[in-house]
Amino acid sequence: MNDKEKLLSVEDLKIHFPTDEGIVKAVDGVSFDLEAGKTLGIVGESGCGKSTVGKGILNILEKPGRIVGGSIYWNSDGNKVDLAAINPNSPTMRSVRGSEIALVFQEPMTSFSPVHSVGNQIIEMIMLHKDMNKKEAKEWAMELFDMVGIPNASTRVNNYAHEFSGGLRQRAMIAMAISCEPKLLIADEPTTALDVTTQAQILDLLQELQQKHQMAMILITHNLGVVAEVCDDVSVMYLGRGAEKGPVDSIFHDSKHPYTKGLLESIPSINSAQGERLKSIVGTIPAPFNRPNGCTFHPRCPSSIKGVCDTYTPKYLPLNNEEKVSCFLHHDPEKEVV
Amino acid sequence: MTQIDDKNNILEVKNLTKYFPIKSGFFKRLVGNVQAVDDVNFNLIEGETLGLVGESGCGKTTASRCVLRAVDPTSGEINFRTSDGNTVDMASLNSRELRPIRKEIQMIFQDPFSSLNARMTLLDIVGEPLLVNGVSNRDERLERVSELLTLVGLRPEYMQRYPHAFSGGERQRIGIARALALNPRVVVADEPVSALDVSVQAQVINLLMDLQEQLKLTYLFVAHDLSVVKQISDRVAVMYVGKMVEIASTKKIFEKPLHPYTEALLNAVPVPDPRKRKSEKKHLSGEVANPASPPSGCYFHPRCPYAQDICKTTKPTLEEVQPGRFVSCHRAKELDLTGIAK
Repeated sequence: MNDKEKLLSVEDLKIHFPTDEGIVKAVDGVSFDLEAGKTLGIVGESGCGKSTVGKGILNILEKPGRIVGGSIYWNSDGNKVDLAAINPNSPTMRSVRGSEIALVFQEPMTSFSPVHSVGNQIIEMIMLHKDMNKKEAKEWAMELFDMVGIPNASTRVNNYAHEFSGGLRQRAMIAMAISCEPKLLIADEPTTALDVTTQAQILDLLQELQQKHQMAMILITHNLGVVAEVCDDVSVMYLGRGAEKGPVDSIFHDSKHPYTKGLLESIPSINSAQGERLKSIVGTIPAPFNRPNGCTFHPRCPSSIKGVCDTYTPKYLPLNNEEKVSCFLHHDPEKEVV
Repeated sequence: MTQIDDKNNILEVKNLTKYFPIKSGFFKRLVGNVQAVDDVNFNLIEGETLGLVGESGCGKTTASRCVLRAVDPTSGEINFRTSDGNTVDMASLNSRELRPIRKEIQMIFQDPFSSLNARMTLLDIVGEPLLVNGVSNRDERLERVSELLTLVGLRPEYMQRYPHAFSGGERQRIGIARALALNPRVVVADEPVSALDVSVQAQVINLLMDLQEQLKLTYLFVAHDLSVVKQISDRVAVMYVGKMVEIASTKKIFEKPLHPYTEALLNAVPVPDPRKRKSEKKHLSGEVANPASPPSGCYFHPRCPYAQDICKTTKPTLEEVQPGRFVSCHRAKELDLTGIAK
């Protein structure tokens, strides 16, 4: 993959939250690339920083969080812009945000304003980014409702968020996100709040829209089943760091990092046998102020090397063209420490 | 006279119904009912795990809370065989008569953050059921609490700490210890792992399975995650809009479901293996029906790909089509549905 084809390339991104109790390193060195039209899955458990990465790309971090290092190169019609270096309120950022990169939130109930109709909220966004008057914008909004499968679009645009069911609300959220035909859609746990049958419908819809509009997608989730169904590439995160990255097949069938292996073994699969004991990862996720030294996973890692993993932090290095891993089982501890 | 039909059963639920009234206007006139649980039958065999599954709003939580009498049922029977061999209809008892039985049926909650009082230490939380039930000697309580904490894999030295010092998985263990304090025979677990991270989920599921073996517990396991249910359950009961649609052994229901809704539910679960991506997708359209105004006939007919005219007019009943297999579908015998391939 050469630089021209890359739509987005995140390099060594660091996002910290300075608080009274200390610095929370929510994201502490994450790198990945994304080609146009492809889907990247970012997986990890709670507190691993996966949602912060999504918000960091759009620079809509909650205070006091800010990008303290690394770069986010965005290919905007051939111009390479580093989104990490520009002012979050600058005109360039505002033109990218929403129109070129759009975001779908996890909780569709709290993401819509309860006092404006859903249609008006979408119309507002269309008029901000597109050269349309209100009438045209409303027609476009109704067309979008049809596209995402909301029935009776002409009456539904005037409804408020509370009048929609969970599934419909998420569809409206997606309609809003694709209203400016973005090149990249970031979906942050888009189906976590939904039932399985609705989840299947929403994932189908996302894939269908992606194919139709040649949109790239970053799917942030903790559900490995969803990742396996939808993604082309996967990036696994643990405590703010990239643990492993690669094509979906090699992540699931030939995973390199002990954390990925542990995660895959610990999920009950609908295909696995009944009554079988699950293998679990020992211990729990450490608190944000109490990160272990060395490789942050070493206290829970079954193949941790004494004197190496507990002292040195492994670098996030490529194994081959497609895969990257940060683990001393694959790299030489003598040379490749941070 | 209440009695249990099968001596292997510890609990039998018959025609259980729970309606929540909808009141409106100045005079709070009754304008309708939310039929949360509508004429549901199931039984718990001693020592088994029955998984109760369904989507949000299907009444699985209400049904499980009726079993505990945390919610009072509108009608129906809940026959429970107590430890001294008598059978009682829990639905008809008053709160005083219920008190001795409450010891035998306990609950594990979904959210380990809101179900533990932040101002109580572990000793107080786990020891409270003991205190309420007459263990007034502090040393005795201390000993039992440390025994319980060891049982669920926590260190007894932690008993003077407060819940905030523990992670989600550890808190869920505290909730389990509290549920086990009075040596219950039946444990109702309402989504006990859905709030936990995957790596921790596995630890808690394993713990629940170990405890069942050690203490000969019977579980009513309420969950929406079919993969978890498959792991832990001996039998599975599926609910849809307040109705029981299918009950069968886990193996049978996953291999070959008999109800179209069960089939749809199984097919909607994403499989964590990119090599098993479904080439042909048969996903349900539409949304779950409103339990305040359910459709005519079979509640599932507007979404069912196999619906015929009879489904629109006549309500199906839960029938035993094979020994131990109950299904509520007019076309159960003729349909050939697919489950999860091995």
